[in-house]
Amino acid sequence: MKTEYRTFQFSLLSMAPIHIGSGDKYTSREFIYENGYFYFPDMGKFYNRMVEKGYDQKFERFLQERKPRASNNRLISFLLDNRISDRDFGGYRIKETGLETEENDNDSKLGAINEVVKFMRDPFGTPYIPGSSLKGAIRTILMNTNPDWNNKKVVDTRGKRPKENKNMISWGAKKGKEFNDLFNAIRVSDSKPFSNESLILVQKWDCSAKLLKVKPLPLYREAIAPLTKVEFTITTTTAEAATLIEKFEDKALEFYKGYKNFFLKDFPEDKIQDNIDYPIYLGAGSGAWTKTIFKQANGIIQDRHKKPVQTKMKGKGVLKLTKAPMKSVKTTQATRKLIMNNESFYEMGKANFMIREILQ
Amino acid sequence: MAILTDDNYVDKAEKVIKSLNRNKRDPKLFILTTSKIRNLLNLTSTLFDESKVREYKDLADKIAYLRVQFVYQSGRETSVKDLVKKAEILDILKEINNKESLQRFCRYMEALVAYFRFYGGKD
Repeated sequence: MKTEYRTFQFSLLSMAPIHIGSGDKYTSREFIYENGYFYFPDMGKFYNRMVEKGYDQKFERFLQERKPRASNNRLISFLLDNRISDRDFGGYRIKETGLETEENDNDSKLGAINEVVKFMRDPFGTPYIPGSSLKGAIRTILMNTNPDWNNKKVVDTRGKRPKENKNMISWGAKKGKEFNDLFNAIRVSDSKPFSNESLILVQKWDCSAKLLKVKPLPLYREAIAPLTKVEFTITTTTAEAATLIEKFEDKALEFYKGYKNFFLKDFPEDKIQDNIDYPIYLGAGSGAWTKTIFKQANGIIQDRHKKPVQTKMKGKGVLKLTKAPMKSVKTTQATRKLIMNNESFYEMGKANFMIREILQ
Repeated sequence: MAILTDDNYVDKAEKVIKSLNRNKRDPKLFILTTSKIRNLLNLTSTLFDESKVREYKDLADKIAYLRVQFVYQSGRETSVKDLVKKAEILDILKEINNKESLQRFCRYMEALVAYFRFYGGKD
């Protein structure tokens, strides 16, 4: 097979908060809310200092008790109660947006939020977006828009539950056959790391299709703030792969159109954001239909959530929103707001992108 | 005499899991959930990986805090408390004084999760 490397610059612009999880989280007693910032200390260091100061017993007791007011169960109240003024425990700070109120709680004091899911970080502690995350989002769009892949054959019905037929697209080496692995020929780089200042904390909000009511959930995520630019490079090694990436912008529009008709149309228009460039959904909280070949997955996903104990999935489920400060963007025509509602609701995980070939 | 040794930690894990409280309606099920026990394993698995590349004394901070996290998690949920008590986790944590005992403890946590799955704990 002939190898012809072509490089593309993939410029991502977050249209809404985007969260890529590292799989870890901060519990409600692992951050300090103070002076408009959420401070996430290095808890090993923090505890060590408490031991030095002779507060370790008190701290252990604090962790075990549960006071009726949520705000009294946060780390800041332990520090204030014991008049501990140290704040040099390592870690980092994230500026508040003012929208992090825990309205489910009996006291809606700012900063009384629950667990916070951590963003993906490199060994230096700086957040970045792994190329594998973006590649997955690219794959979803490619699979949804190609009739060779978006058909009944993609569902593997053997076994207890239907699952994806992973051999739909040829991959891996096969004895006696020429190596043909399409997604090996599309190489997506990690993003450059970005600073903690690009991160905000956002809450999960569900909007139901039937009642059109929006309700907050006790889940917070570290997320990239809207209008953050993130750059990736994509390298293709075969002509077939290069064509797919060249056509990818149109594919993304096609996917979005299908997704809108399939799912977004059931929801109030003011909760849906218009695109500036080409749409893509990335990371956590964007919903099952942005992660699957939705025409084939429709029905299968609902079946998985039939358990009587859990909440049953009604229809196609809820629209997943989040709150972040309102922002405007200058386009070639005019200055435009990113969102159409006045309640700061964004579609979780929504991003726009442009692709440009880098010619050496 | 140490509670945990290289020879006894697997058997001990099995005994602990067998003795855990079970659901009254369906005795096949534990009261403890997989996600709860996995949360505990998460606390140790990063330490296990780090212990292979870093010096023991650099991990002392984290090991001390690990104890606190176990205390915190067992305070939140009685089923976790049941496990932490029966598995003598807090006592074993006090015994950790070098890399070997730390790694043994991490293996012990893995063994607990393994037997939990084996004896009916579901995903």
